Amino acid sequence: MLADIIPGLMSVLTPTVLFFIIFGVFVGIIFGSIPGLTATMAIVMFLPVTYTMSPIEGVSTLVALYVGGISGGLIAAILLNIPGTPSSIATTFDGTPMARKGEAGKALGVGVVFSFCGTIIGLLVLVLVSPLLAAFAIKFGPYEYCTLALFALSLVISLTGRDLVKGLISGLLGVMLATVGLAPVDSAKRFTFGMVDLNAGFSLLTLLIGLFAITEVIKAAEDVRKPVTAKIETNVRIKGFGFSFAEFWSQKLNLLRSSAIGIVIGILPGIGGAISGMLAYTAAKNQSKHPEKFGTGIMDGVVASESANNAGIGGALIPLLTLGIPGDAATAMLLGGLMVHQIAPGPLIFDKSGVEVFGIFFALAISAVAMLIIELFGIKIFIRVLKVPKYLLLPVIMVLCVIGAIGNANRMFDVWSVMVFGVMGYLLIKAKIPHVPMILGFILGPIFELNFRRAVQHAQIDPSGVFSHPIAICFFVVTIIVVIFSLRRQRKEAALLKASEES
Amino acid sequence: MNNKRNDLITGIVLALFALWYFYEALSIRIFAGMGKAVVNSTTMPKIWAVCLLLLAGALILRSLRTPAPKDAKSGSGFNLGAWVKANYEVFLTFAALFLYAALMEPLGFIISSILYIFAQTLILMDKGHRSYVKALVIAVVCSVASYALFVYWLAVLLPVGAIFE
Repeated sequence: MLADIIPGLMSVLTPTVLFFIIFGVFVGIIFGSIPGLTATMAIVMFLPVTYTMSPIEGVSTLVALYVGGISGGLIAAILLNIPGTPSSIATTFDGTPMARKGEAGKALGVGVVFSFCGTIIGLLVLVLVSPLLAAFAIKFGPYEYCTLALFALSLVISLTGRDLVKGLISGLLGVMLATVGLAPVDSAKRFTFGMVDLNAGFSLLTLLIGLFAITEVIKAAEDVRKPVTAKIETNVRIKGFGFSFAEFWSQKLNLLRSSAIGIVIGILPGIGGAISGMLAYTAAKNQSKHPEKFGTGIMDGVVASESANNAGIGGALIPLLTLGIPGDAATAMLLGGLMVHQIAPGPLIFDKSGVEVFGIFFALAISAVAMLIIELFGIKIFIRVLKVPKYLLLPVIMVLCVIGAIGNANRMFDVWSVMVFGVMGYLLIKAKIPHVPMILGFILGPIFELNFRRAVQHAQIDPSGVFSHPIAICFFVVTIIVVIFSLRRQRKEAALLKASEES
Repeated sequence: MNNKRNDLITGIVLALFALWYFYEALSIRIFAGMGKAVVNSTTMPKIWAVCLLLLAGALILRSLRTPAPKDAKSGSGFNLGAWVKANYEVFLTFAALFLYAALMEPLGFIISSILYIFAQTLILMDKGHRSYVKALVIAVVCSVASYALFVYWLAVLLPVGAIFE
């Protein structure tokens, strides 16, 4: 495994890969900074661009887009008081007041530098933990995978936000959509209605485009007649990093605590970056010596939110690479990207694609550096981009998404699926049913069913075997604890989300 | 539409979907060799359908329990005409998207994309500042550029158009 480190490093240190990383980070920041465009959409849009690249080029580009997309959200959060991505909601709490006080440059500098620090801390944990987890997960059989999928599905409850029933409905609808096509184990045709195209089932990509890209165009169409009130803070000057080393050092505990929160939330499937930023902010406030200053424009708040959401990148990649379980929509999209490039996530990833995995680690590190430099020196460009009206961007983005749908398997059926999922996504918004649990249900449902059926087959032959799988029993017990715990927590979190949206 | 009625309609639609899904699951043909297995290809779909039915039931019950908001106008049923009028742009966007998908194969990627970007840009533009020229230029440049980029450089196959073949 260690022998793959040097080839991994060399594979990303080529002019093409470096170019694609810088390009990816740049585009990612643009997508992150424009409210309504997200890291997920950036990855969806550029996935077809990577189809013909080599695996390492393609995956590096996607990782760079992800890093840029998560970090870019802070620009709009500070300058527009609108989070560019959901993960920077908590950045607005102190970022905007800082900008109002005339410290926009400092707020941006703090946000960018601590985004960088968070990313690097997340990366270190990723590099240390994922080989261990992979070595552990290699012992997993059907019992373990079945209970693991159940555990991940149970975490969907914690992500449902304010309405438990609707969150569960969304997750179930995702699971049900995934049953279309050939069944696991015996390949029985299910819900295909005699259509050949349905035999392969729906692709994750079309579901993501429908739910996350089409609905954005529809939202823009809904807002056409609403007057635009957002005002952009353009008076921005950054000297150096915008703050002193003493100020940086005073945040070390905050940085470590927030990064830890971000990593843990990132590892747990189903809990998005929006929550991690918020939890880190709350934790920083509760542990601070001057909690009353939070919300008035102090750097502590920006540090907490930005280091947490960027540390989550490394955290989210741990289960994605070693278990094949993504944590949110953006990593679900990365999963699609890995599969396009023949890199199979799972416990064997270090053996089968060791060079590529270390390539991903180095690409993530280079992306973090690129993000730091591009965001600090290119801030003027991003402010200009924020002024480009959405009616020029969205139609072109839609066309690129359609190309992605066609290129996925070279069939028009996928384009039609995208359109139908778009209608479904719109109806779900109207019914106030969240989208993200559906994606997780769609991915986890088949994993659960396949392993559940295998486990039942094992149990039929050897019924006593059920009790000789301590890991599986452990997952099962933890699942029950999580269900009870998150049912109780869910009420508190719903109140937290509601309060933040109202402010 | 108020929350109460919204939830009620959602619950009923989902319950009907769950029932239909369960019914369809019954007709899945199981591989004969698996006949004696406790869990077969119809088991999980049936379980999912029952779960969804229960959740839909919970949603319906909840909406019936919440008191109707006082300011709700009684007897104002859903009116498709009124909805289209209030959400004109949404309706047009969906129409444009479906037309785009429908025209892709006969007209080919370039022409259908030009038409779609042109239409979509006009739909999203501010009523006061509509510029047909701007929309057309963007439509043509972006469609041709993306076709060239993807087909010639990235080797992604895009529909050429039946009328040109």
